[in-house]
Amino acid sequence: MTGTTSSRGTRVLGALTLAGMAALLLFALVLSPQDEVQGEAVRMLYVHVPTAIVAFTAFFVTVAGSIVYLWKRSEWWDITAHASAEIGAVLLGATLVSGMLWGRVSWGVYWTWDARLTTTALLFVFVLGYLAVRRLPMERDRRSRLAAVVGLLLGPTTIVCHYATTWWRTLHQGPTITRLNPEIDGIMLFTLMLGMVVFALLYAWLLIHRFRVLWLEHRVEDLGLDAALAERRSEAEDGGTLVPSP
Amino acid sequence: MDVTPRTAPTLEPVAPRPARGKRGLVIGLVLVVLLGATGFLLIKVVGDASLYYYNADEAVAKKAQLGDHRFRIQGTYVGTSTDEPDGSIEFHIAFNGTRVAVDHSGSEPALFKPGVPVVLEGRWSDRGTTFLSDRIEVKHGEDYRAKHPDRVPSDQP
Amino acid sequence: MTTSFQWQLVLLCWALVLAAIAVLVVRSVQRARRLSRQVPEEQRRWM
Repeated sequence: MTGTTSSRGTRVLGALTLAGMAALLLFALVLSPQDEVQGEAVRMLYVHVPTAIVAFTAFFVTVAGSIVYLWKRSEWWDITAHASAEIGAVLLGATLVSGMLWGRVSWGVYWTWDARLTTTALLFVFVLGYLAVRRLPMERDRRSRLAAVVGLLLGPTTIVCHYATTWWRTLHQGPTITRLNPEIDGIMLFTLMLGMVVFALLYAWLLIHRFRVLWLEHRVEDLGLDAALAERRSEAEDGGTLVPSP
Repeated sequence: MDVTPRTAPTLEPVAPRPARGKRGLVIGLVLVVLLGATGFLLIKVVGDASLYYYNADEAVAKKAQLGDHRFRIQGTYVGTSTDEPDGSIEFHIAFNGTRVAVDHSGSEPALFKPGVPVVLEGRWSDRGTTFLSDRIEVKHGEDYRAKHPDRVPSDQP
Repeated sequence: MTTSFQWQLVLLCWALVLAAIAVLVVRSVQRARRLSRQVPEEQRRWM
């Protein structure tokens, strides 16, 4: 197909992701039981925890890409770092939104300044900053270097955020599934694990597509400023819809 | 500038475009806002987050030091609550063998029931006998158990 | 808190998350189409 970033591999991955998401919705909203204490609100667990864990993983990919870029100036890793941060930002946003709604039911408040919530907000601000630096209008090599340095910040911040419930007293609960004997009902545990798999698939699928979109952006940048100007014009005119090729 | 595209021959220097300057300005502003947010959040990490609450026994031990400062206190809600004429409620929390009397004004979360651990926000009363709370947060554990329709939930009498 | 209020928040939560992902997908598709028009075919063979 022309004009898309899909290939046979991504179509298979995309189909798997969609099927998995449908199964996850079925388990999370229908088949899994209410929690003894939390009631229906426990159904937010199956989106909150997987998005958080996959977002953390995405940020480590960004850190790895940043390191390799700074070391070898590899365009492939530069784009991988960027694409991973984009998806990580969306997933961490999902973590924050689901967490606030869950907190409203579970704790009685949408937000509080405990160590886990505060460091998550900090991580979100950092990744938004990273993405903003990525859009700075400057020469690509300099911008990529600057972004890679900012990207390194995501590493320690993610680690602190992850261990916040262990290192500090928080309102947020500690880990469930990393304990040796998780105190969690069987079908709830299965649904949670399914959530991890589905959001991991989603991440892989989106990562490939975002990689290709960013790769095209680099090529357009290579083609010169005239082409970029035309692109911006068409973007302004059609607001993102199809226009005939020149 | 060493913008040297390998593929395109159209490489004469281009005058700065207004769009580029404007975009730089917008992103610059975004970065300034994010930098401000970072500062705010770091202050929160050092302040609020690093000592989110005192356990009830610690809060009693540090009563003199805490004075009338606002802080958070953690303990398990024991017994039942009584409604006061002024609209507030009174109850007790306990932690590590220490009981603290609480006078709470404001709403209560839905999951606020005897036996649950709670974090309260407020301060000691002037005489230091009661914790005056205006915010209850229910602290949830990390365990999940299926609710069986035929089983009476453990938190009901 | 009523069960229906809990359900409202649960459904809102899932709807917002899925909507955010859908927006990312749609924007990626649109952007790929627009950029593809400017990039020679041999530079976008994805296999």
